[in-house]
Amino acid sequence: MTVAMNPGAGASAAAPEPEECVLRVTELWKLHQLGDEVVRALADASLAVTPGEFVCLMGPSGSGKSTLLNIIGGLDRPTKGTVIVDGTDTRSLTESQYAALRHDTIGFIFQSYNLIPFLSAVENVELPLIFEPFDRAALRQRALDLLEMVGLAHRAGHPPTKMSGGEQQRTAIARALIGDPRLILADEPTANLDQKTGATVVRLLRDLCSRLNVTVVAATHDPAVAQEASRVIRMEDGRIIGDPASHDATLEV
Amino acid sequence: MTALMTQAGDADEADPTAPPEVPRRTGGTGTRLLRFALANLTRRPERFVLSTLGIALAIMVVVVVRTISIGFAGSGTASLADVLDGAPLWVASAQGVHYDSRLSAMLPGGPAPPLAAPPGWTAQQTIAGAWATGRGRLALYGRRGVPARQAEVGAAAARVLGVSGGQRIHVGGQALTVEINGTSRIVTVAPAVARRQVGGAGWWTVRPPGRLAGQLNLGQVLSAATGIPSSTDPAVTAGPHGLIYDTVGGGGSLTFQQRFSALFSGKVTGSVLGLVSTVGLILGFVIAVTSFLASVQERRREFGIMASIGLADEILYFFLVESAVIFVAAYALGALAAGAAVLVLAPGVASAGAWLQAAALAAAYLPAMAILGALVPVHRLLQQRPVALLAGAS
Amino acid sequence: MIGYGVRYGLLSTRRRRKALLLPGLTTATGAFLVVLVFSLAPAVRQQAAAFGHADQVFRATLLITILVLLTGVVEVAVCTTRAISQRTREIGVLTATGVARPSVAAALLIEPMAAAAAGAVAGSVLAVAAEVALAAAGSLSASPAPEATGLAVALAIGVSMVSAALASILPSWRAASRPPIHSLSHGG
Repeated sequence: MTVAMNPGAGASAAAPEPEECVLRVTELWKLHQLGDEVVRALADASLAVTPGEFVCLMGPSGSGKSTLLNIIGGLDRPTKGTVIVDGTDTRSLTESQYAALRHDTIGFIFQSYNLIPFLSAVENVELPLIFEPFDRAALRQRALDLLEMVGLAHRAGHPPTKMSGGEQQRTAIARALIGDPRLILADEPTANLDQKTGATVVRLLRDLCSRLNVTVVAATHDPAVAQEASRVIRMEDGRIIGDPASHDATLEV
Repeated sequence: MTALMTQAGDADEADPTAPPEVPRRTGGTGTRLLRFALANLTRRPERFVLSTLGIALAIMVVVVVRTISIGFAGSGTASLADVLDGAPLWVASAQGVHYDSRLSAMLPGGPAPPLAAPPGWTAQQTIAGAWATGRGRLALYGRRGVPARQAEVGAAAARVLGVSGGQRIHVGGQALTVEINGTSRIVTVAPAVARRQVGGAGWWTVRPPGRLAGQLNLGQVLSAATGIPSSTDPAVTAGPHGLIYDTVGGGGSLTFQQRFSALFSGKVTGSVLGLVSTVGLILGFVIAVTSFLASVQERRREFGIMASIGLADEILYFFLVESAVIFVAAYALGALAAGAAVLVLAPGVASAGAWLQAAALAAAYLPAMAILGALVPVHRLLQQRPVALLAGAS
Repeated sequence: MIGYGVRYGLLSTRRRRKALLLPGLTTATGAFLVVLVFSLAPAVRQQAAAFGHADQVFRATLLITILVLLTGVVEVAVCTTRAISQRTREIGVLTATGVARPSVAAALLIEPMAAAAAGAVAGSVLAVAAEVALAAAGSLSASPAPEATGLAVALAIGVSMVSAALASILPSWRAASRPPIHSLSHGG
């Protein structure tokens, strides 16, 4: 599945069975109170993602793509609606249970990398698992392997302050992979990077999908990401307005 | 005709194309900054409360300590003033002098040494002793210049005796008319009367001739003339010939009174209380700087916005005002609480006057602390470019 | 689990050494005062009482002692809350990566307690040195009792560390309980 599928090309597939989905979002709403107004960050969003897809949530700022991503990952809570990650209904999860879910199943990549400044690259990659009783040497080796996979083996001992933006993001990707997640959520992964570096990062994400059978959902307004994605879901004003895999006839394809 | 072609007399007619004038608020920049600072502080009171409490506690420590210290010194100085009565030299007996806390007065250990005053010098012998009246013990001094039939009674002594001016008391077998003079707990009578009542112990107070007044070696001059040793240090005790205390001579940063007070209240108290008070001020300052640094850090973005629209100087002024408000609030809280606490717990040791002095002393340090406390964090902030502040990168 | 949190905390404290300076300095000043006042209070009381009002002097020294202790607690709290709010983003990263709250709280605890301990020790040492210097200079007519000084030092160190622990656990637990998006975007 390394071939990027453009929206609209080919017939849309039949709706996948619920058990096959690694992610299922149903009628998700997120409302904010801003003074006297109620802001609709998300309005009735629904989607289903099968394993191995590279999904791109595309839209301008304010379209709700980041909100949707944050809620899927449990970084934020919805006002209404359900999110089922790898068969687990997240509605009933407490904060610590959601943390455990993130820990085991979800990897996160942020626009501003969010690396710990006083840890070296390899220590940052290890971070999610150092609070577990893993064998330290094996963990260290795995982290180094991941850094090599993203092309940063030579920077393993460097702190984030001594790395470029692209290198920091690739370190963050390696970190997201350490726990062997099924789902990777990337919030504007290329926004702080120049075009060339951004392209490298996107290709890396795409290769992860194919080689490691990881599912990637990326929220972005960068068309370069959409190009490499296997499926592009368009969003505007908190609504999903275009989804090639959806049955909904009202959505543009 | 177009509205543009107005005549000179039509100055009142507003130009319809001009934007409405924004009305100017009264009050200068200072008031605006103050309002802004107060609004900020009330918006996030929890941050403000903890740091103000910390600074207030430190100031309270300083004021309590200084009040007590000044209170002690005040008693000491008062009792010394009672003795010296304006003279610069004090000649004590071989048995020395000591302070009796229940009588609140200095008492001699023995008779004053024989003293022949050099020509031109005035020496007055004072008899002093403890007098057991029916109503309580009082210090009794006998001094030349008090009429034979009179008793000069300090206000506190009068309260013990239960007498007022014009009444009669019996001292040394004589009936004397009471005259209230001063606030002390001492009764002063003619020397003969005092001798009959309390015996012959006492001391001399010596005044130099006019031509030598103001010199700093009076003790040594008198010593050379009389053979009695002299010292400017109140800690020195008298030898077999007695001792001349030179209360104006010598050098050093402390006056005789101060050293006497320190001695008087115990060697521990003066230096320790002073040290505690200084360190207390330092602690208050460090707490302030820590909390201001935190405050600046939290609002980096806000300040970045201000800097980027050209209000870089305003950041500093605003922070100075905020610092001033916090310090004033903390000082008011700390100083008042200190006064209340000390006056309730130890009214005999500290007086309202001592507290006022202590509070004023502490207040003297406040402006420097407030300015420095605001400058340190803001200086670091302003060295960064607004872009870095706006991005909020750590 | 908490053990790993502690290990991370030790690592982060080592790497963030410079951040220990201001809290340590503040705690040292507070501890200096506590030790000085506590160990010399009996002697001060005794000597000052010589000129009357012994009970009032006792109450006054007791007041100063309590105040100094309170000030020490509050200054540690001020420094620690500042330190924790500086690390809000770090808490967000840990929570976003799925680290459990007890581990996060344990990890964030180490640095404030280390600063408090180091500062209290430094302040106590300075206070004892000051007492020795004052005694040698003859400014003290009675030397402070070793038991009083020992108690004072233990008190200063203990109170500082407990205050640091409490002032650290509460905010870091709260920060780790919020959805991480807050800590990540608003963190310092």
